Amino acid sequence: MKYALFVGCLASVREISYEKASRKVLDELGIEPVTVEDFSCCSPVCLVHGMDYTTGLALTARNICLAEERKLKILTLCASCFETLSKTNSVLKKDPKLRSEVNEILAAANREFKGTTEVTHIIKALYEDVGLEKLKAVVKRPLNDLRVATFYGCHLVRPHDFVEFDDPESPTVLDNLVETLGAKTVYYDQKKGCCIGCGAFFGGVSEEIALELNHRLMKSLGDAKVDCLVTTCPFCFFRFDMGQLQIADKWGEHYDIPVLFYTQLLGLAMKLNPQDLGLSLHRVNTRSLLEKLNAV
Amino acid sequence: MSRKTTKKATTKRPRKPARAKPRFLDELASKIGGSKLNLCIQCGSCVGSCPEASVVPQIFYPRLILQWAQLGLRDKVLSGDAIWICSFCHKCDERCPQGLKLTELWLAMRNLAVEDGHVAKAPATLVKTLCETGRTVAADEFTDEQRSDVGLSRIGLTASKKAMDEIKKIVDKTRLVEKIKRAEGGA
Repeated sequence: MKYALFVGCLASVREISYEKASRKVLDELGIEPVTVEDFSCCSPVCLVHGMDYTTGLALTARNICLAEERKLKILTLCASCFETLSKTNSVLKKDPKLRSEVNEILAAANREFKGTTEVTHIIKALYEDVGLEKLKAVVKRPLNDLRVATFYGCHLVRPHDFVEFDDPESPTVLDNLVETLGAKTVYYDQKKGCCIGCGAFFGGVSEEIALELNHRLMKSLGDAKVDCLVTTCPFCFFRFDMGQLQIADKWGEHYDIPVLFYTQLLGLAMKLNPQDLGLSLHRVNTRSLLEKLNAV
Repeated sequence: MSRKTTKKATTKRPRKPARAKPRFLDELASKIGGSKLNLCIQCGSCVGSCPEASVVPQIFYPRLILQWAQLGLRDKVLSGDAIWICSFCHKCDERCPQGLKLTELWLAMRNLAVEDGHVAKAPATLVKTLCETGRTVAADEFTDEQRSDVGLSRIGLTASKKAMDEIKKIVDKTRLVEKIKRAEGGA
C-alpha cells in the first residue's frame, strides 16, 4: 500500500510527535508514505475559502494535482486538512462549471485538476484499508486494563457528504480502533464535543473561548478516571495538551491526563519504543501511562 | 415614571433604522452555497448545536444572523464580527431540518464582506502568511533543529521553491493579497 502523505502545517511544524509516530507506525504496517516535496498548506476551508472561494479551491486543488500526477491517494494526518482536501476534491469532481473556473486559475501555475484521486485520513485508512483484523494481529502488548477516552473532534466525521466516514452524530470507529488494541473506552459527557481548536488557531474566535470549552471537557473527563485521552487531529491535540497547562494556570486545576494521537497508542500496543513515537515531546507528561503499560 | 426621565426619552434622537436590502438574499444565492437561506424557519437547531454559541451567545448566535440576512440587513451582517466566528464543526449543517448548509452561508457572507471592505484581522494575517510561506503555521529556525533531533527530515522556512512559485502565480492571478489588503484598509 502506498499513499501521498499529507502531513499538514501543524503536524510538521509544531506537533511533530504526530508525524514521527505516524511514519513509524505506517512503516511497521508495511505502508509506504510517499513524501511529496511540493505539498503546501491545504488552504483551509474556514480560512482561505472564506476570503475568496475560487482562489481557496485553487490553492487546495494544487495539492490534489500533485497526488494525481503521481497516481496516489492522499493520506492526511490532520482532520482539518482531511476536511478541506476531501471537500475540494468532491466539489470539483461533481461541479464541472466550478472545476473549469478553478482550472482556469490553476493554469497560471501550469496545473489542472482532473479528479482522478481520492483523499483519506489516517484513521479512515487504518479502519478501511488496513482493517481491524490486521491491526489486532500486530498487537504485541495488549492494552488491557487501560481506560481510554476517545475524542473524535469534528472533521474526521463531518461534513458527512464530503468525508463520507462513520456517523456524523454518533461516531464509533475510533472506539472500535482503541478496543481492538485491548483497551477499554469510557463514556464522558463531552465525548462528541468540539474543541474549537481550528477556530482559535485561525483567529475567528479568541483562545479564551476555546479554553472555556477545554475546561468543560476536562471537567467531564475528571470523573471518568481515564489513563489517557486519544485524539485524531493535531488541533484537538494542541487544545488538550497545551490546554491542560493553561487550565492549571487559570483555574488551578491539575488534570494531568496524557493526550495521545491514535497512532501513538497503536505504536505502544505494537511494542514500539516510546522514543520513536515522540511521546517525550508532549507537554503533559506521559510517564504515568508508560508505567502502567510497563513501557518505560 | 418621573417627568425628568420622560423628557429625556422624548428629546433623545430617534435611532436610525437599519436599512434593509431586499436583494441581499439573491446576492447570497449567487455566491457559492448561499442558495437556500429563504427556507430557514428560525427553529434554533443551529444555536443548540453550536460550540461557540454555548460559550458566547452574546457575540455568536447563528439563528439571529440568519434572521438579519432574511430581513435584508446586508450591512449589519457583512460589517459585523459575527460571521467570522464559526470554526466549521459542521454540527448545524448536519442537523438543520431545512437542509441549510450554514457553513456555506458563512463562506458566501465572508466572501461578500471582503469584497465590501470588511475582514477579520487575525484570519487576514494568516492568509497572507500562507501566501508568503506556503504554510499557515510558520516554521522558525528551531523547527528543523527539533525535527532533526527526532529523526525527521528538514522542511525549511517555507514550502518548496516550486510550491512557492506556483502559489504566487495562483494568488497573483486572482489578486488575493490585494483583495485582503484592501479589505483590511476598510476600503
